[in-house]
Amino acid sequence: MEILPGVTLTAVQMQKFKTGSLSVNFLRPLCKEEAPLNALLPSVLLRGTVHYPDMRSLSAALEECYGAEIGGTVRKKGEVQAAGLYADFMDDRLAAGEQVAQRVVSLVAEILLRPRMENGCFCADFVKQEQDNLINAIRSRINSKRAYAASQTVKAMFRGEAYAVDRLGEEAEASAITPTSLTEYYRRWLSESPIEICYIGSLSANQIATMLTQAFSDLPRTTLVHPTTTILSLRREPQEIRETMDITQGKLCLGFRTDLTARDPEWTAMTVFATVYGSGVTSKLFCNVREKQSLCYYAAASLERFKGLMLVSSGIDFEQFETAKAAILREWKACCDGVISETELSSAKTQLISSLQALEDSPAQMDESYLGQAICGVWCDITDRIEDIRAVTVDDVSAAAQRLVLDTVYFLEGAEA
Amino acid sequence: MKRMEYADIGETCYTATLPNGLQIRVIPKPDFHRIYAFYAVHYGSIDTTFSVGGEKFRTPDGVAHYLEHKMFDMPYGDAMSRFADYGGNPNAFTSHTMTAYYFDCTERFEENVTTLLEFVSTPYFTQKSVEKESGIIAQEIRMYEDSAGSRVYDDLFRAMYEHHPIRVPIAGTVDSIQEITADTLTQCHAAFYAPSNALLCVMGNVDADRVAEIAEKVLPKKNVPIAAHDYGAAESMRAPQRRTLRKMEVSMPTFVAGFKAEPAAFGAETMKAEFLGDLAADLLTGISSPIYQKLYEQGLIDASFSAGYESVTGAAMFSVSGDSRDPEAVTNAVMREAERAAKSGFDEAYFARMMKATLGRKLRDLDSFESTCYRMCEYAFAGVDYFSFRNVLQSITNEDVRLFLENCIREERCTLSVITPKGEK
Repeated sequence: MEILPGVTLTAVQMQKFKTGSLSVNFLRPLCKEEAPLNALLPSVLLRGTVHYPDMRSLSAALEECYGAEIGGTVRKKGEVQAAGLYADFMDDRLAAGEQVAQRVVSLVAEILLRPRMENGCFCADFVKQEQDNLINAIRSRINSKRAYAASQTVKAMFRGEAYAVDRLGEEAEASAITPTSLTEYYRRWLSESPIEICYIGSLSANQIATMLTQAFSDLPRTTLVHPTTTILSLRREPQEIRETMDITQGKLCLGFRTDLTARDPEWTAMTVFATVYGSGVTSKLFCNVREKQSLCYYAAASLERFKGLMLVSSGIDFEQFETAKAAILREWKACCDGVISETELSSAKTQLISSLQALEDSPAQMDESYLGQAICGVWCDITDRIEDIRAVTVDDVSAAAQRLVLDTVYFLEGAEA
Repeated sequence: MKRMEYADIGETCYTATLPNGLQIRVIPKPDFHRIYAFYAVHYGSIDTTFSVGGEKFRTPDGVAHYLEHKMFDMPYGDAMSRFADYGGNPNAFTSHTMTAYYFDCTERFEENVTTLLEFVSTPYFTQKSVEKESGIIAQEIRMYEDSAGSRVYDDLFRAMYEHHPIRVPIAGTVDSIQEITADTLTQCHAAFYAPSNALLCVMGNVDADRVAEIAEKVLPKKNVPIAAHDYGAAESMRAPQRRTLRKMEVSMPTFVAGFKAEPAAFGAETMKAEFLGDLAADLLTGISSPIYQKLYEQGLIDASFSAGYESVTGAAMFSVSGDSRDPEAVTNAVMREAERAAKSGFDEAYFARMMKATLGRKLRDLDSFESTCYRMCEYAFAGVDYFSFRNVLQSITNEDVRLFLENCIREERCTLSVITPKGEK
């Protein structure tokens, strides 16, 4: 429901949790210039407000709310960047008459709308320190080799497209931010961004909507900018990229494009395909590349449903590059050819269905899912989605496999001695 | 099964101990779709040395973890595929003190739990399959070796303890696992996998009595004694090495400073020691502490900074960790602050506020099936009921915290483990 102009609330009343969760997400088009600004804003806002001028006093207020937590969130959903705050807090029913949810809503609004400023500008120290932290976070991408390999693959695949921009942006643009430029951006961010709020907890939609409407009543609003994701259908010879680092295990990543996204009816078959192929212990990659050939500890496929791509990641011995690549492609070919057993198909479906059912058992997963649906603009209830999965046939799966185009083969290997 | 009500934390638990010694806990969650079953064996990476009937055994490093990988082998094939038939999603892990097998499902719980109980009680290892696994585990070990977050702890434990088996990485090394054979696995299974050394914890919408019936039917009937754990002589409280340093492909130094603490006594004391250590960590270095903001503003710590207490049988420590351009300065600042707090103590209002925050967070943790089942087992192995946590927490005083800091956060007990970027001094 729209509670204020351009502010949409998804509220799910659930009595079974001891935790309530609330996220407030400002949606922006993903681009090189804005990405680090979006990433930096939540951290700077969390440094102090008019009433709680520093981290210490803000944190003390949260401790008083039975250890409620409010943190920054920066998510990349296709070519939409969602930045804002995520709060989780103890449910009021356990709080002996205290109104934790009400206090958390007020604190979230206070942090977003009434940051501590000096002469109409964010505190220079806060900006400088958080900027350093952001730059460190950008540099620390190399720390997790698996994630680094995946991010390098994505950059190579989508060079020139907005999707190539990393969730946190790049160091050059991050370094160029000043307290003035960030403050100017903040004012636009506040007034131009569509806002998606998601609440899961024991309060009714009306109760939480009333609290939010009141807390955000002075939110400035101008003309809204609605971000979208562009899907290009691109075929080319697969490119091979190699990079070296001083490591003991090689990281192989294969990037595939599809011309589908979660908006398309064929997407369900795509999710079944990706599960048959590379998700979980019954998948072809697990059974053949890991169990039969002992090439790796992990080999897994993951889909991105906003931009429509699939990545296959594996950690292997350096000299196994060709063997592993061939093995991974062989299993894909098998899917294209419809070599899929009944067991493989039904295991994959069961896996997808039970993860959908279990979604409602976790506030964090529900939040992620509702935000995703809001950004995609596709609302589908779980029962319908389960029916769609049940209806997928081997032919649908092989048709989905054939929609894939191998775009990039990336290998992170050891530095030569 | 016996029904226990824990009104103070809003939970119910059915408990039983079978004649074969298996402990069972069922936590009913009628409103949830998921059912989660967790079978934990009190046997982990630190149990490499043990004795059976007076005879002493020394097994290769990493054997508990290797056994975990191979337990899924069954005469009928791979237990994983059986779970797949029933829509269960199984997995397993090995920690220092426990090997746990678990699954998630939304239907056919009885078939899934039967599969789980069958494979944990069926040692079926062929030499061929054991050899084949070494390739997979070697890649798993290589993955940890390239992870600074895991290396920094391995280095710390090796430098901080003189002989306690926590010094060895959980998965062992690529060399040590080469010594593991089908016989080794059979021997270790016989030594530790008796039901009397395990706990089955189930959360979800299930019938508790049925869980007990199935466990009784599937598992061995006899109550057999298990091997005696052997962790060697007590560790001295002095850290033998002041610091350890390694270079890796990382962007910024990452560190853990460990402070040796006295291992807690069996029973409720274990839980109290843990809560006390964590509370001390929050009061001393939490975000609302004076020192956190100071270090943060100096750019010495960032959001990755954390502190806490951990213990395994025979070894306990308080630690502070995170990324920092100057780990030495952070460690020294924490030590100076602890010294100051040990003299002056903490303000009562501050202490009360932190107790309230801790309580709220612990209550929220109960929403996680994974964490609840894990803690249920971990505390049961230490002789204490996890669901008694509210009383244990409330028994801690401000003075307890002060004494803990005075006793534990001292230079002679400290080892600093640091990973620095390649190419830096």
